[in-house]
Amino acid sequence: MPALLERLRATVAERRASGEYPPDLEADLDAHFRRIIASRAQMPRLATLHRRIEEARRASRFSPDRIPTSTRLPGGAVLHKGMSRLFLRQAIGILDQVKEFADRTLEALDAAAAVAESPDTHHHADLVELVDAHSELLAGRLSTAAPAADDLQALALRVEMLEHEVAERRWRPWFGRNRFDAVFDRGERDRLRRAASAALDGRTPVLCVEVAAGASPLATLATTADASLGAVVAVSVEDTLSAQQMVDLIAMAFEKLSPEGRLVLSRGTAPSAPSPEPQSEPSTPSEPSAPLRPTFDPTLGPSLPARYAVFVCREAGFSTVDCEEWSPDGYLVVATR
Amino acid sequence: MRIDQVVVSASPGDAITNFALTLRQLLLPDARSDVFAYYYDERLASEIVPLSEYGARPGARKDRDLLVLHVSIGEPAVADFVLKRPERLVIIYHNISPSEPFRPYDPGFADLLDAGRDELKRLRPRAELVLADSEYNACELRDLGFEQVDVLPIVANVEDLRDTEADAALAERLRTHHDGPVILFVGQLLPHKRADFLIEAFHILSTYRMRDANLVLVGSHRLPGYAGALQSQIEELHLDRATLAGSVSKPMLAAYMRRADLFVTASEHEGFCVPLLEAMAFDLPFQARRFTAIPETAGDAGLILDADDGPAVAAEAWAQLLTDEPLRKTLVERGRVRLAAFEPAVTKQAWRQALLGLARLA
Repeated sequence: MPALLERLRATVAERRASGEYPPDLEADLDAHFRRIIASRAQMPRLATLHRRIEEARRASRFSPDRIPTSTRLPGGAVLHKGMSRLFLRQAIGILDQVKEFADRTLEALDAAAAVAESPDTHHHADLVELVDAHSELLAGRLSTAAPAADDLQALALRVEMLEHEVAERRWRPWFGRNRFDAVFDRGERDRLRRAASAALDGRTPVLCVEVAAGASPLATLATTADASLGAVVAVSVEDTLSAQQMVDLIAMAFEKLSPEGRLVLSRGTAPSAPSPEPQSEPSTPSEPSAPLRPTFDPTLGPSLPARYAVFVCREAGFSTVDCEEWSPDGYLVVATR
Repeated sequence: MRIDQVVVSASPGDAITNFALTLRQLLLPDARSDVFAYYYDERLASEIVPLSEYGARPGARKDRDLLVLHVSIGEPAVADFVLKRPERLVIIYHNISPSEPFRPYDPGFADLLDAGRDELKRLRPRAELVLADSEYNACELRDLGFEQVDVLPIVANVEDLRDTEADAALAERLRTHHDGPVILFVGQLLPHKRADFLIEAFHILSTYRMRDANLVLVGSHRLPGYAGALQSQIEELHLDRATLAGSVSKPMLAAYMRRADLFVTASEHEGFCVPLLEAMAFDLPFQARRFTAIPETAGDAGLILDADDGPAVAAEAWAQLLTDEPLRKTLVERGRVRLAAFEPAVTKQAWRQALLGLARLA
């Protein structure tokens, strides 16, 4: 085992050195989680409140059986038991009233805790004032350094596009489409090619850098003259290239494309056959809902591979980059020089 | 003869509660034994007696009866109660978690943990027998000034879980919805168990090494603040194949264990680690970290990372354990051998003899 551990550590060191792992990967992840914790700094008080309520709930068990009848005095236990039988009806009546009061009190405490936990259900005048102050400050800054109208229009268009993307993504199934297609082999690669061809919009000449046996997409591109291509199409190359090679491929494609030339990257399954929506997924009445709730929420944002490809294209210098997502890790990216 | 037991808190599925109930059953032929709790879950009302009713039982015999206190957290009211009782005191130490990881989430709970160690010092002069379920726990007690501490192997009863029929609906969903390998963690989601480390390692694994891998974290969300932070971590890292499964029933746990390909834990504090034995019982290779009683529990049956190995090394280890068949086979075989050391018939007898032996010394 020690030898295996040493080998694993060496492999990780190699991945870091080769650039496969970004520098400071673990430190960034650690900082990310610490930021999440810091944003929840108000939680301890709520946790204490919840714990105290639970303690009160556990203590709210009322029964005549819990009234001790034992005593060290001779014959005392018999006397106590006799007395408790005699006044049992009264004792139960009192306990019922106490229990009712305790139940109502616990409900009120639960409601108070829920209010404290959901800031959107109540109003904090102090926070509103703070937000107003910051808004005024921001408005002041914007008025002194107003961006050009074109920039604002581009920003508005971008926001509109993102809103449209989010709206489109809302009911897209989080599971399945890749998996179903892979299982039934519905000609995924052909559909990817068709989708990529449609995005070329008549540009020529076209260089396809699909990964074939023994062929390297980077080597294929490297032999082409700069600014000589109308389009570069790369279908599912990401599956076989490292992160650094993807960056190199996109940067090299930019060099090889003529002005207005297009780079088309596609991956995963293009939408064609209808796929089941999450709500139509077969289920049994007894199935547990919580344990299998997917933690991925498609409305939160695009999946990492697509975001990564879009980011790298922009960094490479492409003037417009459009992205259509097909599934959590399937996409079509069209970048125009 | 009475050998009554006291726990601070009793809840379904809690390891210490289960152990106290097992002990009660073991002692029954020779001694009456009720389990009393200061806090308890209503679902255990038929098994647990409120500590407030301790006085209602027949008067104790100072020379003969035993009071067994299970220590895993502090509670001043319980310590005060025990110190006033005339019975001979037995302490069973299950370990008290360190308070620091809890303080950002629940300072009140962290204070109780600190109080637990102070209470142990107060109880020390009264204890006639002190038992620990691992050598690590015994060392902690010795550091607190306890001179004589006996170590007894834990009564794990993992066969019970192994023989449980898996929840059919969950098993089917796991089969159809998790097409890649399943990496499983079982344990309460508490800060010192470092589920955040597991999520970081899974991020590295699923981004750079095995895109189809799945991570399932099974266990109750004792601290809503920490569990919420983990949920945010998963969402912000876009880990659509990581799931917080929450608290599950025994048949559901059996379904997860049967579907899993690898068991992992990043815990930095364990007085013992029963989930490792459960993994061995299901022939699951496992990865853990070199902290507290974990190496002692694991023996040579798992891949134990050093304390300073980060999530990237953990991810590399997971990829290795998921793909290296000879390594998996070796670890599974070692797990079977290790598990034999915790044969319930033997461990139960050891606990029974220790307690009855003291009682009969009267």
